[in-house]
Amino acid sequence: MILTAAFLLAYAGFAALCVSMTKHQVETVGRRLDVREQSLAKAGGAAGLAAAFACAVVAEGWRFGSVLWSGVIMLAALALALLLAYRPRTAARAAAVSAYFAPLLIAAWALVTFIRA
Amino acid sequence: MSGRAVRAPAWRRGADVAARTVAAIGLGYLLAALAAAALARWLPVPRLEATMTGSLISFAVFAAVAMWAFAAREAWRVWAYGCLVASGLAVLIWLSLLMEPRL
Amino acid sequence: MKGSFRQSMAWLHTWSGLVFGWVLFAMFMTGTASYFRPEITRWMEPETGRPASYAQAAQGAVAYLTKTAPDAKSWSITLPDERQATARLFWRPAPTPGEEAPRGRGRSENRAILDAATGQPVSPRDTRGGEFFYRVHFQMHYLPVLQGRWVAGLCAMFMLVAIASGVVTHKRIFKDFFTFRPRKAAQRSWLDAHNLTAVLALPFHLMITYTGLVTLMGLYMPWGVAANYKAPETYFEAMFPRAEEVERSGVAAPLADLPKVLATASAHWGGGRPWIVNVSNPGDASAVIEVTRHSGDQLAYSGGTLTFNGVTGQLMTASPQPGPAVLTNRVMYGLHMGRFADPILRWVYFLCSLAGCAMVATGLVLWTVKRRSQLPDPERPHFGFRLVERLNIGTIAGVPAGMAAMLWANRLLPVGMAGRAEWEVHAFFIAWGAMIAWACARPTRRAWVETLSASAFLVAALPLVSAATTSRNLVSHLMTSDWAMVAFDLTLLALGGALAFCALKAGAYRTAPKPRRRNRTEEAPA
Repeated sequence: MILTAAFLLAYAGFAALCVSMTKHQVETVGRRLDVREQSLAKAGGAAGLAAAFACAVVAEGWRFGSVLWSGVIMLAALALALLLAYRPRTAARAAAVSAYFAPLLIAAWALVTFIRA
Repeated sequence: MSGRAVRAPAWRRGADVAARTVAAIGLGYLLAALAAAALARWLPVPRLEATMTGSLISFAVFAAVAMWAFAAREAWRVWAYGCLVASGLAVLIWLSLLMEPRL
Repeated sequence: MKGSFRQSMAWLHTWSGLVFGWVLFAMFMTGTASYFRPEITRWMEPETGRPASYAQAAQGAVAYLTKTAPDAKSWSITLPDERQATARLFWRPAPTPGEEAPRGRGRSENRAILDAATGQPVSPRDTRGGEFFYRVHFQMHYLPVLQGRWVAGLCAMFMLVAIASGVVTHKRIFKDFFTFRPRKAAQRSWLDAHNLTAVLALPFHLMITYTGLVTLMGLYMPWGVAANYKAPETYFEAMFPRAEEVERSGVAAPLADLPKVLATASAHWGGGRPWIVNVSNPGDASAVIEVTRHSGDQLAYSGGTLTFNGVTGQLMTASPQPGPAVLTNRVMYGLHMGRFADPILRWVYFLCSLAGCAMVATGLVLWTVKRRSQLPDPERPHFGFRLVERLNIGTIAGVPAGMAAMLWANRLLPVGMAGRAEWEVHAFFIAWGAMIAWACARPTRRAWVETLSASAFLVAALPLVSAATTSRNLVSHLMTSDWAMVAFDLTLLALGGALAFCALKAGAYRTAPKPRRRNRTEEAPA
């Protein structure tokens, strides 16, 4: 559950980084972003990747977690790039959905862990 | 590079590529091996650790030398500087062997 | 070389990639499969059962060895983990006085395979199993082992050079991070595909290449060791300290309860799994039990060995903690092997590794795509171009076909056939060679479509072949909830589907209209 959240966060993070790049803005969100929005997207992207790292470490510990994180972000980036090539709008929407569901998944995971403990 | 900016006669180009390829593989391996040995001798940590560190780094040395062999402006420079560095490393190893024998 | 640094690096990237590309593709493909080595072995040994706990397997192994080889010099038991269905045993018989100490290894009469759950000996069909893909990916085949490893080492070294020079060449590495334009002109989209699989999985590619070299460091770079140690044995003793060999005392004493010893070991490791158990002088008062930790318990590949008194079962010594450099070496080894990976992480490894295969394949194709437009007469390319093109087709479609052919042979060759295991391996190379021959005989586009289709068929039909020739099939696996084997069949179907998709794409591929005569490596309008 929390690993799915890590993947979704990584995906959303990369999507935000991608949107912060001028060349991808029109195809994904339909317009150019201003400077403030761009830096917001950049910060959001970095936060998403960091949160994915936190999830991986919580799930698997420091050592395995960091390996897992590197793998997960590579796959998330590949997924985004492929989606972006064929369905750029869907790629952006999927990112929004991911960003929405990731915290829910984390909350659900925390709840389950709490009940088990 | 790939066949369109060629002005030198074909045999000279061939010889140039051959000299670089031999340098990349032969000299690259020689320098990597000497670097591994020199690090194994000179790093101020226990012998086993120094041996391991030197060996782990050696592959990066090989890759760097191989890239340099093709990046350098003339092939002979690679050979000249490469042999210079190699003899320097060899002297270092020899000195350290004089000071302290092998286990 | 003449021209800028970047240009010479581009040249180096192109040619090192091309010269070593075909072997690298085969190494990447078989290496990718090796992440599922135990599962492939289980599939190829349909006579074996299901995984069981190591404690259960240990009990069966001791019972078997006590009966079969009570006064052996030593026993060695490789315990199963949750992915393996068998325990593998071998023993060294006691040397008879006046005779050379017998070499235990490699003698089939001193070996046994036991079912993990029942402890009964099983005799699976003669096969190399997943071990073949693992071995061939770093030591080739039909070559002496050491020569094969040097070939693999040279290829890996130039893979490292190709990666480094590729990064230097690709100056827009971050700008093009997400860029893939499949609908653009052929060269553009092949370049995108190559960049994408390379850049996005770059940490993996770098890691796997460097750590691959490190796994065979002792062979490739013995000079650090030679500089510090007169005899390599001194180094090995420092690196892998082992208990002294003890002579038999001649006083009989029952062996300590092995499952209990394993439980102690596991507790000592904070819940780690035992993997290899060595018992010297079983049944004697001087018996010693060495328990080696499962190499997948930690990132570091070697988890250490504990030595127990073989009669009382008391823990005597533990192997010392390694220093930072030795630990780094073991972690690199562990990262390459990926044995620590749980199922999710294993799939991540598998997919990244597939991206590596795709990177090599797209790179090889790109070489021809780039040059086709520059040929003086594209209808009649020169010999070198044709050779590269045919080898590309024959290898990219041929290696998966060969791997599938080996699994076909595993099911179709008669079980009692002499030299069966070796013929399975021949099937791999025969199929690969046949694909190259086929590619040479046909026009380019037809060759792509036909070889890829054949390859897709060979892969996707495997679940059916297995169902027809053994009691193993998707339904039976589902009924017994043998998920690993269910996943195996589904993966074969998916890979076959992917190859079929490539065949369709190749069929629909039209050579791009003659591109404008522009400097090709310069950026196309974004």
